[in-house]
Amino acid sequence: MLILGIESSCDETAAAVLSGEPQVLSSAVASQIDVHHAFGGVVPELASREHLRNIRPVVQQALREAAVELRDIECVAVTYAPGLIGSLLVGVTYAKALSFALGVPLVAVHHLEGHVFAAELEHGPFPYPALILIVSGGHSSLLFSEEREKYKLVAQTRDDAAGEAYDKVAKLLGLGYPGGPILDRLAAEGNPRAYPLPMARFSDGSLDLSFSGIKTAVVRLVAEQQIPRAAAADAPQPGEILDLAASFQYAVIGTLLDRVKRAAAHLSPRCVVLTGGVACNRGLRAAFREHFEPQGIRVLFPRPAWTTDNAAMIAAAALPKARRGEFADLRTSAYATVPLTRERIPMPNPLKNN
Amino acid sequence: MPAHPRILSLDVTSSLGSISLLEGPEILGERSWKTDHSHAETVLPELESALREASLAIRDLDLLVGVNGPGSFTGIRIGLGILLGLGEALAKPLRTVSALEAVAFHFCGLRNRIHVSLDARRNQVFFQSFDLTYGSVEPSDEPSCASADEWAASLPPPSVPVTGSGAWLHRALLERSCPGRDLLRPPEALSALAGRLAFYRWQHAPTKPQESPTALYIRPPDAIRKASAAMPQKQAFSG
Repeated sequence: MLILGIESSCDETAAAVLSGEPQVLSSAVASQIDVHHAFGGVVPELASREHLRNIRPVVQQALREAAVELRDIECVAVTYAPGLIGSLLVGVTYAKALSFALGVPLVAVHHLEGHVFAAELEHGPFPYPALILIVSGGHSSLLFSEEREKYKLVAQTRDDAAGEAYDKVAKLLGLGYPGGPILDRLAAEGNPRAYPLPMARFSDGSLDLSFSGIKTAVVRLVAEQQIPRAAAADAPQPGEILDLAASFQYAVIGTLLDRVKRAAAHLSPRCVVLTGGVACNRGLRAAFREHFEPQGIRVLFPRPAWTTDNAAMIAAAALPKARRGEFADLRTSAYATVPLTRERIPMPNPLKNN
Repeated sequence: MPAHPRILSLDVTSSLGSISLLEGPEILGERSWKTDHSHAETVLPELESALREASLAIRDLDLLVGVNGPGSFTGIRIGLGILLGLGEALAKPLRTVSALEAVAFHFCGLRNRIHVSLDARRNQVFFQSFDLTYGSVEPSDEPSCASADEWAASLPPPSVPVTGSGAWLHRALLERSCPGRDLLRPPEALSALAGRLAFYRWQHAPTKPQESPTALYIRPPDAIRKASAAMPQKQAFSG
């Protein structure tokens, strides 16, 4: 089966062709980083306009690189939720029209499930049960999966996503966009204990995440200690900026690791999956490997090109649904917020036991 | 391409969506619908129904036409997203017509000149003037967006009649600023008008290379306007 995947949920227009093995025959991505750079974050209306400009050439590129014709495509897969509604709509309407005119079925894919399948594309089926941490500019969710395509929510962010916090801190320091790779690089040169930053925990015992407190603490620090804004993202940075980057990264990774450790202690997974754009972060990968692998828990993450938004992961997530005949109809639309699962695992409250 | 191509024309740039199927200038079928929500769920089921009613298959179409704005930003993208997808799958040529042109075309053969003003919300209007001959709409200025007051102060001479949802909405202002000017009731659904205009244009330039449809937003995104306002004038973003 040849599947054409389409992804446009945020600021990357992507298309990919996947064969049924599954094998990625092509994966084309048009990034909008240059468009949003001046604003220090994604501007939804600009993103939607770019998607409309990019969708046709990106699909054509994916077909060309896979050396297939559109008439060879047997199924179209598209991200329908969650994301920026204007961005999602471009991909959904384009994909529906393709499917209708080609006379091939359409599969609607949840974006977060796409990120899960990015890791499966890399490693094959996971050893279950799996704890899956999805961290990106728009999402921070911890899922528990006892079998393929079945998910229970363990935790999610109550405010900013992890990647969003990276972008906001990088913007505050004048370091540019996207903030994740910039701060990750600078953090390697700084002292992570130079500035103690808060790592939020909830008194109800929930493993939910929160990054707004860390971000606010950085804002306060910069003002109180008069830390200067960086001159240019690629210029050598003063020690305060390096230390702040390292301290911020230490707090974010510490928060994420804390949640996954606590969930793992309760749920005994055989692997921990890190996926989403922030899973590119070298510090995060190293910290998770260092903690879990000595315990015999595998840490799995996709290659960098598949951690950020791409359409290969959407086509991969669609493949088992297409084989089962789970197709979308012509009324399918896009939705800004749809949970991947409504089932939530209650966690024991360690504070109550004390 | 046959002399009288089978045309699909689509407009979802306002809350009134419409689809028309034509053979040359003749309408084979037409559907219109009103929605307060997104057209994304509606367009393809409506197209499927229109094709069925006209006993046509999607592959019978020769030319695909879409209204590319101005209007609802989301609606513009839904229409063009559908048009691009159909065009890619069917390998058929695409054409776009603006909503301003489609409204103006309604008055071809009735008037020599027309000024079209469409409601742009926020007390603003999109507007443009056209010279009309039979089967032809030629713009006499660039499409613009301005506040209703600015628009009323910049209207063409009083001999040029005015039409469109914006002119209709701001008719009291129009009457005050230019008493006695002809205000013509605008057409409602635009897809058939856009399809016919595209057909006549195709007749005059049938070998025109396949157009890559672009959206006609006119109004820049809020983020750009705010950034432009914050910059010194020379650095202001012009896109």
